[in-house]
Amino acid sequence: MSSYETYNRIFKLGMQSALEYRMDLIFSLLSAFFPIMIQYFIWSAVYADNPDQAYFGYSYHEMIMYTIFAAFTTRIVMTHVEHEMALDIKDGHLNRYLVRPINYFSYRFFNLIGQKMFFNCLMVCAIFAVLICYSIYNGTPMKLERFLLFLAAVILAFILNMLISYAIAAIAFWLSEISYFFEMTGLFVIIISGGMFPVDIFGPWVNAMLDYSPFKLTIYFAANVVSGRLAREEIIAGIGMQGLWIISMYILSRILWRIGMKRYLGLGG
Amino acid sequence: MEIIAVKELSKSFEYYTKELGVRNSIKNLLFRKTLIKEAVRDISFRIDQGEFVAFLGPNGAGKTTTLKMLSGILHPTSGSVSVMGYNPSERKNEFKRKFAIVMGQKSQLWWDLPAIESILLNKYIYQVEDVAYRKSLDELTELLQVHHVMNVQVRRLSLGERMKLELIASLIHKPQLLFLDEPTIGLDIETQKKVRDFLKYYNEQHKTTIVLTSHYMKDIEDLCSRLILISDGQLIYDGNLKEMNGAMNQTKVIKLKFTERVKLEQLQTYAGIRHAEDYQATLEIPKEQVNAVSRELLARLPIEDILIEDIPVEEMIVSMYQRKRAQ
Repeated sequence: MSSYETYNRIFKLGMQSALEYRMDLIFSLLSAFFPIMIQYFIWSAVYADNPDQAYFGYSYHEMIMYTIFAAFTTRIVMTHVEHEMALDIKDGHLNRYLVRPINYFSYRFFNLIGQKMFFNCLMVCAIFAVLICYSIYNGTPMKLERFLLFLAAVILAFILNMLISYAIAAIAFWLSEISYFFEMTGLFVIIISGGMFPVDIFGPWVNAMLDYSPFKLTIYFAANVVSGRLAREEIIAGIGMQGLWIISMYILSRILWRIGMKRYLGLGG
Repeated sequence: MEIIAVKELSKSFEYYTKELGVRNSIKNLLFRKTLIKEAVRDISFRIDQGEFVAFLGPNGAGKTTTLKMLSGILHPTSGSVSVMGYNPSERKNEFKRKFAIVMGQKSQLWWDLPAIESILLNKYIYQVEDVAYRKSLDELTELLQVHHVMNVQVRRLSLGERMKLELIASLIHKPQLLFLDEPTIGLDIETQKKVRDFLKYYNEQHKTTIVLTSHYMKDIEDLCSRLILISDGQLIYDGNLKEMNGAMNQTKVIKLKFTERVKLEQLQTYAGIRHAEDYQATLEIPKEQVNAVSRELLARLPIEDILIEDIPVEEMIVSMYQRKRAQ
C-alpha cells in the first residue's frame, strides 16, 4: 500500500465534502460574476470618451476580456487555505496531523485540489465558453493551443498560489491574532497578482519590482495567456518562471514551517 | 514489558499577564513581560504493556501537557521520554503507526462526511490490510453498537455517537498504545458507561496499553488499576487506587442515624465531627480508634443505623491536592 492511495483518498474526500454544500457552490459560482459586472461598468465609463484610445496598453475590448479572464482565474487560484491552516496552528488542530503518519502539507494540498476540483472545472468551462463567444463575435477562429497553454499556466498558478498561502500561513506560528492580517494580505495579494485589473496600471517602476516576485505569475500571467496578449515564446518563458517560483516557494515555505514547527512543539525560537 | 519510560520530565512555557483596564492593554501592546510557567516538573514513571493507567489532576495540572509529550506533539524542556523504544519527539512514522490519541474535544473525523469515510481514510493512512480492516471494523462497530450511524454525516450526530466513532477511527489500526484525553467529557451517564465498558473490554481483550486523563472519578474507579496523580506539574501519587486508600487514608468516616433527636453536646466528646444535625451525624475517626468509638457510640446513643466507610476517593484526592499546595 502506498501513500498514493492515501492522498488519492484525501483528494476524493475533499471533493465529496465540497459537494455536500450545494447552495454554497451555487453562490460561489454567482459571486464570480459580480466583480465582472462592476469592472465592466467602470471600464466602460473610463473608455466612454475615447473608445479607440488604449489605456495602459489595453484597448477597451482587451480590458474587458482581461477583466473577465482575471475574475475567473482569481476564483480558480485563490483558495483562502491560509485561513484554515492558520486556524489549525492557532487552535492546536495541527496535533491531529502530527500524531498520524501523514504529511500535513500533502494532506492539505490534496484535500484542497479535491475541494476545488468541481468548481474549477466549471470555471475553466466558463472561460472556454467566453473564448468561443469571443471568436464568434469577432469572426476569428479560436486557437485551441492558446487554451491548452492557459490550462497549463492556470494549474501551475494554482500550485504556486497554494505555496504562497502555505508560506503566509506560517505567520500564525508567531502571531496569534491573524484574521485581519490575512484579510489584508489576501486583498493585497489579489491586487498585485492582477486579480482586479492588469498589473500594468501600477506603472513601470512597480512592475519592475513585481517582476522579482511570484505574484504576477499567477492571475496576471494566466489571464494574459488566454486573452492572447502574450506570444508563444513569452508564454513558454512564463511557464518556466512559474516552475522556478514553485520550487523556490516550496523551499521557502518548508523552511518557514520548519522554524515555526519548532516553536509550536515548544522548542523555543 | 515496559512500554513507556519517563525520567525527570519537565516542560515550561512562556506566557504573559495583563492587568485590568485599557491602559494596561495599551501597555501590553508595546511591552509584554514574559513569565515562565512550569507545566510539568521533574516527573518520572514507567508503564508496562497492557496496563490501564489514569492521569488525574486538577485543571492545569499538566496532564495534557504530559500526554502531548508522550505522543510527540510537544518537546520536553528537559528529561527523557521513551515510548515503545522510540523518542516521541522524533515523530517517526513507524512510531506513529503503533499508537493513537483521542482528544475529547478535538475530532479527527471529517465534519461534513459520514464517519465511515474518515475511518476508511485512516485505513490508508495507517496502511491496514483489507482483511484486518474489515475484522477490526466489524468488531468495533459491534462493540460500540454504531451500525446505524456509520453513514450519517458527522455533524448530524450526537456527542456520544461522535465519541464512539472517534474511538473506532483511532483503533482501526490496532495500536499497541492508546492515549485518551478526557474521553467521556460532556457525555451523558449512559454513554459514559458504554464507553467505559468498551474501553475495559478492549484493554483486556487486546492487551492494549491505555493511558487516560479524566475528571470523572467513576472513569478511574471502574477502569484503571493504576493511578498517577499530578498537581501543579508534579507527581504526587503513583500506584494502585486501593492502596492509595490504605496509604493515604488514616481515617474512616462513621455515618450515624438516630432514632431520636441527639444534641450536639452529646457528640462533642468526639473529635472530628464533620456534620451533625438532629437525626444524623458524620464523624471522621482515626483508623485505630474506629472499633472502640463505634462500640461506645452504640452503647451511648439511640442509634438506628451505623455505617463505617473509607473516605471517598474524591475527597481524599482533593485533600492531597490541598496538602500539596500548602507545602
